[in-house]
Amino acid sequence: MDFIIEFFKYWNYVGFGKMIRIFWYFIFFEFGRYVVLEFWVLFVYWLGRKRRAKEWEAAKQALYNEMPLISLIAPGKNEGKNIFKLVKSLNEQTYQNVEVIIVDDGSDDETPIIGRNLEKNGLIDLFIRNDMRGGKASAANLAWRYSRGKFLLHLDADCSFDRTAVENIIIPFYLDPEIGGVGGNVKVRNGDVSLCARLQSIEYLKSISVGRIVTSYLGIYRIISGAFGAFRMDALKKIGVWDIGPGLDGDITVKLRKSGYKIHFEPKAICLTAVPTKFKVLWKQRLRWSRSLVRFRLRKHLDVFLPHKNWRWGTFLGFVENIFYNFVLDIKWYIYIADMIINFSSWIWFLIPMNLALYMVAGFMQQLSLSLWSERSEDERVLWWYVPLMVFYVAFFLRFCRTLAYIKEFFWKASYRDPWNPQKSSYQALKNGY
Amino acid sequence: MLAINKINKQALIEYEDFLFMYVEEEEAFDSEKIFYVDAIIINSSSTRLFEKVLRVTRTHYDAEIYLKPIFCVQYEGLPLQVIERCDGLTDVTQYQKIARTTREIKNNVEKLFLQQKFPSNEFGVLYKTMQYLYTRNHDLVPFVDRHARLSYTYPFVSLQLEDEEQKKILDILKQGVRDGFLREEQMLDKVHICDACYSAHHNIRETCLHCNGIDLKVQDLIHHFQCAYIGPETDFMQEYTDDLICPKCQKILRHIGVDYDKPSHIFNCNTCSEHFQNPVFTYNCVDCGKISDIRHLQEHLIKRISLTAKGKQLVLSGLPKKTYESDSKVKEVTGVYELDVFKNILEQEKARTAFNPGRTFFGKVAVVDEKLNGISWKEKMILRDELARELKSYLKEYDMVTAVSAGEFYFLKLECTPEKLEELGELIVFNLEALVKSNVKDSQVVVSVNTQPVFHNQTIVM
Repeated sequence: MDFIIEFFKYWNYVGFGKMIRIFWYFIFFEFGRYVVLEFWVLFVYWLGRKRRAKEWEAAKQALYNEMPLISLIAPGKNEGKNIFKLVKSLNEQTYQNVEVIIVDDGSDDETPIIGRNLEKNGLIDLFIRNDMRGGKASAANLAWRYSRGKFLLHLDADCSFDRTAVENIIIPFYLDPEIGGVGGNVKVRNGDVSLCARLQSIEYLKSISVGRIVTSYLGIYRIISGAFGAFRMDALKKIGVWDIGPGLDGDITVKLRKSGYKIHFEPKAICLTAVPTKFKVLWKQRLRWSRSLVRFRLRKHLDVFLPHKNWRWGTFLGFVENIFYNFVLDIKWYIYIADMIINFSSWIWFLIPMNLALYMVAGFMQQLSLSLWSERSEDERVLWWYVPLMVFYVAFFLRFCRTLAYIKEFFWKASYRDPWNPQKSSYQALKNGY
Repeated sequence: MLAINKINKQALIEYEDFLFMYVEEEEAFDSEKIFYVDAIIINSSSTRLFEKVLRVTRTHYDAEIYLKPIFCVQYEGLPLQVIERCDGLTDVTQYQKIARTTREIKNNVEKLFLQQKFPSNEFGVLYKTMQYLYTRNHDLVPFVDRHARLSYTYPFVSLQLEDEEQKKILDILKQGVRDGFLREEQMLDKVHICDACYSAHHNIRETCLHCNGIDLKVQDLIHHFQCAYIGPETDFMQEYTDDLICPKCQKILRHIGVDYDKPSHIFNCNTCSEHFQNPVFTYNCVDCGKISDIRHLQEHLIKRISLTAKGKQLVLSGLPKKTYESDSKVKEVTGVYELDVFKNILEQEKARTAFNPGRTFFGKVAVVDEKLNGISWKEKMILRDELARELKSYLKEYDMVTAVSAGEFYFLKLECTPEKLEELGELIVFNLEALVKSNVKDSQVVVSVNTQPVFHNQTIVM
């Protein structure tokens, strides 16, 4: 009790000016970007809803007038247990002029049996198996090679889709002919399995469902998720489809941007995915994802910062935002912590609770915006209880994981040794500077 | 010792105490004399002549004839169908050997119980086969025959059935094994037969998953490690050079395992342009033309078959009486009894009438028709069953019927009055006559019903 009285006395004494000095990191970078900016963009986005609805209807009409063939491809390894669920969900789609192609990248489970069976029974159009694993990119490229559609949807086999998902992810191509790729809204399906999955549910809602509305609106949307992304077939051909991963979904998005195509995020195209349910598995996954920032943004596509034929502000700013918020501020956070320890060491027990309280308040504000936008807000109400834990999840778990990934990739090029890709491909990618 | 005689054109050879039929040409073969000879010697390289002699002999109804030894004079290039199905190869100087084999077979035939009636045709074939195996004292060894529907010919058995019925051979032999008369020995082969016509002659091919087309092209898939491009070999091939060049990054693929690999293959259908990795394997039956998935082919094992002790016992003692007389029983209908049972019941009923006289009647139904003499025994049995069933249908559940033959039936009517019995008699006469007339052509059938009351200690002549 005494501590609480002391705590409030201290902050009353410190005053607003000094609070800014102490919490500058939070106020300028976190609150400004993730609360103020997002609320403002979402408000503007909300204001344009009627205009968008009209344009949407016209685009939908155009889609159904043309009824193009859409190729749905699902490359993967050891996805046998997921394939049937995926196919079932695809067969339920409102848009039916589709071909389904599944590529088995050297699975050692029952995938070949299941895939061939589905093909034989006409539930999918083509099942291709590579006896030797070539990696995700080669599997996707193989599916692309035999796709005949005007648009191609890249799906992860462990996903399932809302009935209108295919239709909704294609309509944006009819809104703007310059759009080369559309990202779908990926949500967590197994959020109720563990705490780890719950926290990811909130994270996905924040960073994808709402975060990407904002980045897409601002024209700096940078990753078409591999779990659910749509591409114009001619655009894929022009950019030379997928290169070796990991991080190939971010890579192909940048390639599309660099070739002059616009990228769009469609919140109505909803896909549910299964996320890791254990922190250990999640840690490995995030290490892989985070390494791609160094590999692709800071190495492969560094030319985005240089003037070239298809140079665009959006691509440039998207890169800047990505590098700044994920890389620069990550380093800066450690400096900030050091600043706190050195300059405010005697008041550290008042600073930490205040810091946590501020992040929690911001977290609840973000959660409010998620509830306003989500079509499943009723189901997601339970997530409110977990918002306080997000502070620790984001500030510590994800940050430490990111930092470690950057260091490993920056100094030791760890992504080229990642078993996610076969060694033969990683070796060639390293040798040839991909 | 050796004398060649000719009766009409047919040459006969007397050797020791045997008389051999000596056949050199088709025109001179007199099948009616087979019964009188001990063995047949064919001196011809003509398969046709051999087939004719074999067919006439082995398909005969008389065991003395169908088990007759047949020898062939050795000719170069004599087909397997001849070698495997005759009782020995010989030359014109080896009569001693022929006589020895003939004697063995003849002695064995004499030991057989010459069964004439069989419960079914299939059992007849099985029985004859067992007789053949016993008299030859060796196993039944099928041999490859490209003219046979099953691709295998079973000596003796194959001749018992028409070409399109050859699959029955396998069923008959299996039944023989199940019944313990035969034993399966070493497996010689597996045949896959058409599920429509049971032919083992078919053409197996890869067909398109989508259109069943057979014009398919298979290509390797090439994976270029460096840029992750993967596609069919033709994507990488050049018109004017032998180089493989990646269509995505334009690099030359020099070294398999270093620059690229071939993780898989893909089929392209030239009929419908679809792609797939796993074509459907279909068969085209040469005999009936059916095209179907090879999974529909029936697999059968071709095995060497031997005769068991139980089988030997059967051919030596014949079928148990019960087995071949099973048809003489009226097929089970409630209230229709065998004559012995009926007589017992009648005796009991007589005793019962001591306390309840005048309400039980004994009836005799006679069906007289000359045409019935012209139908086969089996047909008579069927007609008898039909009439017994028909007769029972006019009686109550507790009334009893027995059938002595197709022309003689008895019944026992309980709890009845003379008036009702008279009506019943008329009904039976009318309907049984109608039934016989509808089953027997030009029938002049006359059905009569005679009834009498049953009393205690009365003698009823049946």
